[in-house]
Amino acid sequence: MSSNIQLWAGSPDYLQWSRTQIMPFSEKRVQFLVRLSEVLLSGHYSAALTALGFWLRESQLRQWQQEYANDDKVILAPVGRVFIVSPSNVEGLFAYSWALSYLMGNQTVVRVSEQLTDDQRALFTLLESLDVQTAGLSEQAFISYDKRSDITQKLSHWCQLRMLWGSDQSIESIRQMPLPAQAQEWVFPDRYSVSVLHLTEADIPRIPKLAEGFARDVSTYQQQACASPKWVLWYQTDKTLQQQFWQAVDACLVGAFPANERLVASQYLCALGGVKVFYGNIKVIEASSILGGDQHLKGVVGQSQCSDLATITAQLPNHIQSVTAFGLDRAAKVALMTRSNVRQFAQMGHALNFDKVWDGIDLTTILSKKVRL
Amino acid sequence: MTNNERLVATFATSLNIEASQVVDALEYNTIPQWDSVAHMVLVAALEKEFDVMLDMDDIIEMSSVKIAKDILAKHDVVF
Amino acid sequence: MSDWKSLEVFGLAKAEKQAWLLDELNRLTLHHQAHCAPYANLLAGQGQQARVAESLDAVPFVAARLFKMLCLSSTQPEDVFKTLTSSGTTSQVKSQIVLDRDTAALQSKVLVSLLSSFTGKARRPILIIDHDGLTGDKAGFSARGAGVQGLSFLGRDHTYALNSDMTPNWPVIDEFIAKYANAPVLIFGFTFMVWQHFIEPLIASDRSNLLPQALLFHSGGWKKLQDQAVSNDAFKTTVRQALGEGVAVHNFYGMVEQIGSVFVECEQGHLHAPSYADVIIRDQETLEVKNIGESGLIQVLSFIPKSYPGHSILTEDLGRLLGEGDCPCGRKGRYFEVLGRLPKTEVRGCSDVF
Repeated sequence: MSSNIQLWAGSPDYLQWSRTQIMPFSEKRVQFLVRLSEVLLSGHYSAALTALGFWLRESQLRQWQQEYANDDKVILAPVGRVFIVSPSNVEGLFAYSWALSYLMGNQTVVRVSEQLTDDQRALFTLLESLDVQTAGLSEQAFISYDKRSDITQKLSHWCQLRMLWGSDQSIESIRQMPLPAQAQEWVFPDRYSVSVLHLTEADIPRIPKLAEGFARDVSTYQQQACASPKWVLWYQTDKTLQQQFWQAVDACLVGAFPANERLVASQYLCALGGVKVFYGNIKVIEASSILGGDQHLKGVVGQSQCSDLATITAQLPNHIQSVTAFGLDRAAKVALMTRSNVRQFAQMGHALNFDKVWDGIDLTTILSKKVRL
Repeated sequence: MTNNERLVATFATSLNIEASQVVDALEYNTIPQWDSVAHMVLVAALEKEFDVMLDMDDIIEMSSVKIAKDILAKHDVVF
Repeated sequence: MSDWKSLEVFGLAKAEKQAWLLDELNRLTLHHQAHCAPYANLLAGQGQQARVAESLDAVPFVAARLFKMLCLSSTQPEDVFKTLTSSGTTSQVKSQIVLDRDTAALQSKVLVSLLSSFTGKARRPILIIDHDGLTGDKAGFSARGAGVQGLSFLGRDHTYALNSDMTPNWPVIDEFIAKYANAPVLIFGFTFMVWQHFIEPLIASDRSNLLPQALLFHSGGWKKLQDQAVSNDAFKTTVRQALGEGVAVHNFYGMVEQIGSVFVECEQGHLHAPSYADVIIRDQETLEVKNIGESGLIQVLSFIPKSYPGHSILTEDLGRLLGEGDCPCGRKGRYFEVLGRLPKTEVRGCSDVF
């Protein structure tokens, strides 16, 4: 039953696309993304889409182009046919991985979930109109289909690279579909992210700004993104500073989380042994170590007190992804990294900034191949 | 146009404010028009206008018109 | 303190009820604190330890969703009689309600006492709008099954009206009708199943005025019928068209997490809190207690749950408190209406990132 495929943008005949000779950073594709970026930055789009536009701004694309310039030993080439399955919790994510696949010269089929958000609709409408003007999407397709359909199987057979974003459960279910030996696979499963903060008296003037950043990191996608901080590990920080920090965070989060979600989340963490220490627009629950990492809680942040780096790393779960950090020097970050599975550090307020190196993986590299001459 | 005029014009267009409001003391998040979303529009426009590429630290630090000038000065834009 | 059986179902005045129910609930809070570690943690974590509530609205409540996230039990594993699960097919995660013998028995007894105040003591023949085979497996007992079983104590000659594929079992239905056309009977089912799998097919098959002395109890939420734009009034009218003008139709509101204490709709269309249970309406945002006429989240209180800490639950249903003690139907206590589910929170796409 491969019927009921919805095509949102691009071209429908992906299973028949013939081989092309487009190379990474082809000027036509760069120009398409530049145009996309300019429209998204025109002020008529949501914050999320504006952020996408910002990320794809020309200066950024040109910088990558320089970074991946060919030399006399190696030439960059596309992987070929890429199949991306995007997650439903972070609805804009697909656009980032798609843009990189596109930029690297690939033919790309992106699967998004069937229920489109307003942002997704707006983006697809824009992509369609740019496609009409430039035919830039003749070898790209954005589709939805019922997960029981056999199309995942067909596309798995078709692609040379399968990239899966989503929950462990959905990745495991897609992995039931065999991938031909010649195809590669990259997966971006469930991850957990924390914040490690080290504040001193000298940082007091910076607290409002740090708090604003933290508030942004948690309110974006309602804490449901992998990179959203869910627990704060206070590293050698005085409790009065912590209280100041939470008050400042609270002021930035008026109405950010529904009361019932905050209640459910905080009661859950309390039931597991946490103690409520701050009760406001966000609830803060203290415990001696991270609790409830397997639930998707909203409007609650846990905290624990750490006197040394070893107590921090001892708590980090295996699927730790981002550490949004303040007050850690390079040596401290290296120490955390080598004793845990930490995959990236972020600055306060920038935990959800997508980077082409994500989850420890350089996406531009995996979406291309380096051909030795 | 002098660099200063170009800067003022870019700020005014990106933030959708009067050119007269674009003074050194104008700070990020002190007027509703200069919020974090507009900041992205502004940075992209400044980069385009002056043909520079700002790094993440610069983008975060760029919290006033004065600081924007200082940062652009690092990229050899003279005011 | 008087035994619940000595209480008139809808006969307690405000002060008496407060005194009786509050005492029961405070005892349950202490009991669960002593026997359910996560519950004790929850109270301690919220700064509510060792507190005896001085009014009903001060009794600590547990968010209903917690029963889906945790196994909250005050029962030793060897004393578990059965575990109820919510039968929701849409939500992946189901509530788990652990029952011991006493709590399970109390659920049935209270339910019978409650509903028999509408039906009378005589056990009537009962037509159950479901298929046989819901109550068989004790371990994986579903709430739908438990509802059916609890109600079945009220009736005799239990007749299941549906085939396992949810189509009407016409021979059985016709036989029931032939036997009891002139007798008081009970009909029970989940609201949408009664509508979709019984009333609609009956009307389509041109059968009418079939069981003129029937009393229909139905429950389980209006969501699916609202989608088809069927109101409570339209539901009643259509049921009476099919079964008879004099048929009594009573909706009731209850939760898997508090089986036994249900809130039955009176002749005025109001849901009533019996003496053994109560409702409090809380503000969606502040969780403050709301007054008569105001709407908010429904909190349900019940003296039944001893095997799990479910005596005070904040549901995710919205309701409006309509009054207390002054319903024209004559029943005492609070009465209210259910307005639907708390809307699912949408993920906001405000990725404020630069």
